[in-house]
Amino acid sequence: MISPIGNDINNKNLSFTSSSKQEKKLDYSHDTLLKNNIITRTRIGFDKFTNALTIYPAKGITGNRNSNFYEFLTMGMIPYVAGSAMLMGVFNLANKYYSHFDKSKAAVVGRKLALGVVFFGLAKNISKNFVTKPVQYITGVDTELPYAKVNYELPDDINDTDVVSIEYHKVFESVEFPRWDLLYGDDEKGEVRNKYYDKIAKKLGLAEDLNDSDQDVKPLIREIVVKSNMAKTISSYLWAATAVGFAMQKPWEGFMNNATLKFWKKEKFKQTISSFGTAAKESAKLFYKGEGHGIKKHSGKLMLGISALATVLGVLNVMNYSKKPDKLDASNVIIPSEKYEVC
Amino acid sequence: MNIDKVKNSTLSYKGFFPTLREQPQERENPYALRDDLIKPLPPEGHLVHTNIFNAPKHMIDGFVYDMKALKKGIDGTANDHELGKLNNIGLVTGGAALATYLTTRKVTASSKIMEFVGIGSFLASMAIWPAVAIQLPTKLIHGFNVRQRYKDSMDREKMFFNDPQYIPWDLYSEQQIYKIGDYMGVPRDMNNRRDYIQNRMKQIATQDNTLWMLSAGFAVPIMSALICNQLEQPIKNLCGNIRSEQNKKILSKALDVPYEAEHSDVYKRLDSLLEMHKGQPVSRELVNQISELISYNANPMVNDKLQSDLKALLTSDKTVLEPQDGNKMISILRANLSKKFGKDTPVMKAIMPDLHELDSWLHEGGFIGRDLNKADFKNLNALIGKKILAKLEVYNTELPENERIAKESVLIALNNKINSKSAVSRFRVVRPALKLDENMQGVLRALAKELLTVDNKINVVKDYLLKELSSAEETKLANIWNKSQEDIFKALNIPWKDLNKARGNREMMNQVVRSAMDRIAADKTEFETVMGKLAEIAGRMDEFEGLLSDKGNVTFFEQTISRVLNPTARKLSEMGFEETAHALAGGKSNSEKSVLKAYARNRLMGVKSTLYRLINSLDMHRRLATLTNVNGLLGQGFCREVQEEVAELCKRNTLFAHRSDFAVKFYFNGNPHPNYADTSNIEVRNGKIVNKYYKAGRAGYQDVSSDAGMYKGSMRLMFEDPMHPQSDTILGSELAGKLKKYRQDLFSILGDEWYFIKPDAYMTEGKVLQAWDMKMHPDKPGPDNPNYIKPKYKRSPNKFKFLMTGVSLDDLAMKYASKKHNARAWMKLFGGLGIGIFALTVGAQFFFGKAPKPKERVK
Repeated sequence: MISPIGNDINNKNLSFTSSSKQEKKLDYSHDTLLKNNIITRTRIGFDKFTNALTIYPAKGITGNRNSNFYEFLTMGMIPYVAGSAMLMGVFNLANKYYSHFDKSKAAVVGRKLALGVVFFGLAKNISKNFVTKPVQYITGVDTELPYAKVNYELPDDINDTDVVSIEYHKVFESVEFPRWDLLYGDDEKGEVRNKYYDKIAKKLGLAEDLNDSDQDVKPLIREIVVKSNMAKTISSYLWAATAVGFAMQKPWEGFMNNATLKFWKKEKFKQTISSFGTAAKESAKLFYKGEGHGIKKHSGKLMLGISALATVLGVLNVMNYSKKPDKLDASNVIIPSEKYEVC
Repeated sequence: MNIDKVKNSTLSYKGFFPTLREQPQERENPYALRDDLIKPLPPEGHLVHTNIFNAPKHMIDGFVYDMKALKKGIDGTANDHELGKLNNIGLVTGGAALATYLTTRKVTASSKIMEFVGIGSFLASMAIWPAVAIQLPTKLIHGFNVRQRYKDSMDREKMFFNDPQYIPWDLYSEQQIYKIGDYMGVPRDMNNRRDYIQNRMKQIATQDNTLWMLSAGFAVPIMSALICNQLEQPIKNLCGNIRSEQNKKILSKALDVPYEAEHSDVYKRLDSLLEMHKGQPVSRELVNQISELISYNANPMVNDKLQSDLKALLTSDKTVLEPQDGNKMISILRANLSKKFGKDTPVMKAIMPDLHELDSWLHEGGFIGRDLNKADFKNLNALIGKKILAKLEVYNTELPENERIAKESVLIALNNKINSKSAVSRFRVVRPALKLDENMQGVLRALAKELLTVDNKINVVKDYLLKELSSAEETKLANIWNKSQEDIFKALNIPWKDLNKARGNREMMNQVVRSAMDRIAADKTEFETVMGKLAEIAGRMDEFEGLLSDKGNVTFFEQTISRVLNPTARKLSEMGFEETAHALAGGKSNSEKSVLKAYARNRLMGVKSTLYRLINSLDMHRRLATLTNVNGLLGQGFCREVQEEVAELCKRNTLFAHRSDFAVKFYFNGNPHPNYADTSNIEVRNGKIVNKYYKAGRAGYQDVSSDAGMYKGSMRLMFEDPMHPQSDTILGSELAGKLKKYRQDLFSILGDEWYFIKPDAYMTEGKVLQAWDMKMHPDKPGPDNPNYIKPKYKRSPNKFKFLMTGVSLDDLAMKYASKKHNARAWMKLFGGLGIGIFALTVGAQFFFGKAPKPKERVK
């Protein structure tokens, strides 16, 4: 279906038009690789979060033809946040209808479970670094490398000139279609074209002066990304479960009874922070050491051990590339007597 | 074109992406001619339709795919779709790990199961919510499956409408699309009809997907919580029943199968100990070792008796001399005498007996081969002294007078204390007369076996009792009582509004409960229904008790205990362990058997009393309502005002009094100066007492509980007057008999007419003797004294009274109501919220898919 795009095509910033003044107003005019640092990540997170709560649902619920899969996935934050809040609510909101004694009993359980929900979310996100950081350190491949994608939408109507939307993706988001192109250096700016791939090749122990480092390295990078994604996914759920177990410890009860989030009440808030440390320490101890005997005593240790093991095995698996550098020589890969087909 | 050349070229290798970088560009595309490669393969994508018949296969296929994805993930060859699947695996793995961890922190089976139910219901809700709240309504409203799945040519299953920018419309046939269009009411003669329908479907799908994201976060936790909420009680009941059945099986198995005590560690140690000391005298050390092994630590009292019985068996105050004792005796003699006479002197040679000689002395004195006591050793000592003196005499005769040795010096030397042993005990060998012969070994082995067996079985029984009766969650008793409680309040039919309002206020609850009782008692049919229901609950309780009616009032629990302990006790007493047998299974209240039986009985009694009390209350209300069998009220010559007070007091007591109220006295504010002139009978109208005089809280009322007549009348009315004939009929003779006994017991333990001030009071003619009076009483008599005043009531321990009175109905109602209130409050809040979210989600879908129709093209 062809949509009307107006007559003044040159005034619109479309990907196939030449660059115009309008570009300067936009953060990005073309897909741009971003630095993976705390500032960018925060900015991206904030941007995605606000969009997920405002623009994307508004577009989606009206059935806008520009709604896309990225927006759908980004909206996945809503059930995450709402679900966490709701879970806390399920355990706590009805308490006020109970008699005093029942209320205090229910509140202990409810608050701990609420803490569990918070810890689940924190651990799930933080623990991803347990895999991605070592992998980056060892292989040089930053699997989380972000880039800004400039998306040109169909105008909603004939007067709609705001057709650009910025999406934040990761270079290795898709292992089938990684954005290799973004990793090449710009010849015009005097950059070495294979700069990035040379770096990885060196890091992975391939020769430093490869003619086509990109071709040699790409399959390896893909393998690294797949393996680390897998390790990240599985282990993050285990860490999250561990964190919930940690939140279920008794020392938290005392903390939760006196804690406040009202930061303007200085004394009490200060006290909350300091007692958080104590409660965390005590809970960690109890979680690790356990109570009672038998499996009950060791379950915490076991849980922690399994999570750590999953992470370590995952990282080790990443380091164990199936295609060792020495096998990468074309003469090893391609056997002259074999018939090859292009498929 | 040389195809072979192309085939043999090493232009590329078979990798993830074929690389064509070395492809000679100037030439014609060589592949164009290759029909085995170039031909576009027909697409194999298709829609996936699941129904209940192929769903299992579909699920299994999905699982296999996920596992393959995991494998490929590990190998590093997974594609995007497969990596996406790993998220599900992670979610389930993490959830299972968490549930397993939480399980280890829970005690009861049902709470362990609930951890998995919790996680499982959450995952299930995540899948069910979009299916029920979005897929189904959209199917009904718009006529197509918005969560349609399809498989692409690579066999990857995906959601059809996942990505609005990429929808493989060609998988839908023209016919299918038009059918959907018809459902939507799209005009049949529209231009580009398929396009329009597709656009509308796409729009609806986009809206639905957004709605899914918006609603799931709120709905899933609630849905999951609701599922858990509904499943908790059934799971508890199921676990309780399964466990109870298992317990019974374990019990009967443990009791029927002989316990192989020979294999137990203790028995083996005893056995080796007995083997080691076989045939040897039983020394004190050995006795200690044996009694350490043969013990009954479960009950110190039984153990005390056992140890004293064992000691009696294994020790004796007698000793025995053996041939080797001769050497020892000689050496003792030599040691004593040589101090005075020196070693190897002629004197010594002359007077020291040799072994043979000593042996003949001992035989002569009859000291060999029999048990010797202390006196025997005195004699033995004297005999040896005499013999040595005789030898000295012989020796002296050969010596000149002045060299002769005085008898006295020998005697002194003989009786010298060596090693601080007295002369008497000098020869007394510390060797018990008893030997560990085969007979003794047999007795000890049999004893150990018996005790180990009984210990093992008692532990099984105790475990069983604990699991069935203890005051913990999930015991059979707790489950039965929970259900009974539910049934009781259902039968009483008290409006929930009233119960809920009064749940935190005893005064209010009293009124609620009382009005319900009056209502039921006044109506014949309602009374019969409620009484019938209570009888049914009582019947269930009896069934649980396993009452063996033909053997009298013995429950299954009590019978089991006797079954284990009695045979052992019999055997023990046959072996001569009388005391132990008594301590184990005797009739005394502190024997092991009585303690266990009392535990079972008391646990059951507490629960049963609550129920019987309720039956009694209801029955009394009915009697008052019909003025039948109310001798305690009308037959005591009370004036009308007192009658009214008695009726009031009895109603309050049966419904609300706690044990302390019964134990101390009945506080009751009544008129201290009733109108004695009005001797008419109390009036009942429509089953309700019409008070002419009594009015609660009237000014001038005082505590009249010291009125003995009133007390007597009340006690009789509550516990002595026969039950209402209707009750007797409904309850049936068996249950009615039990009720009768219960009421009689209460009548006597709470105090009949003799006791109404303090539990420890005695009554003489016209005077109540307090416990203090009894101590000081000048004629403090014993039973043989003619002045002995027999206590007029049965003394019962407070615990027994406590168990007999049970829980009052208002207490029961308050607990029941507040528990139910909490559950309902939660349900009201989240059930309501859940329904609201559902309604909103479904309702929104009616407004979806309003894509503008294309304008008719003007021809």
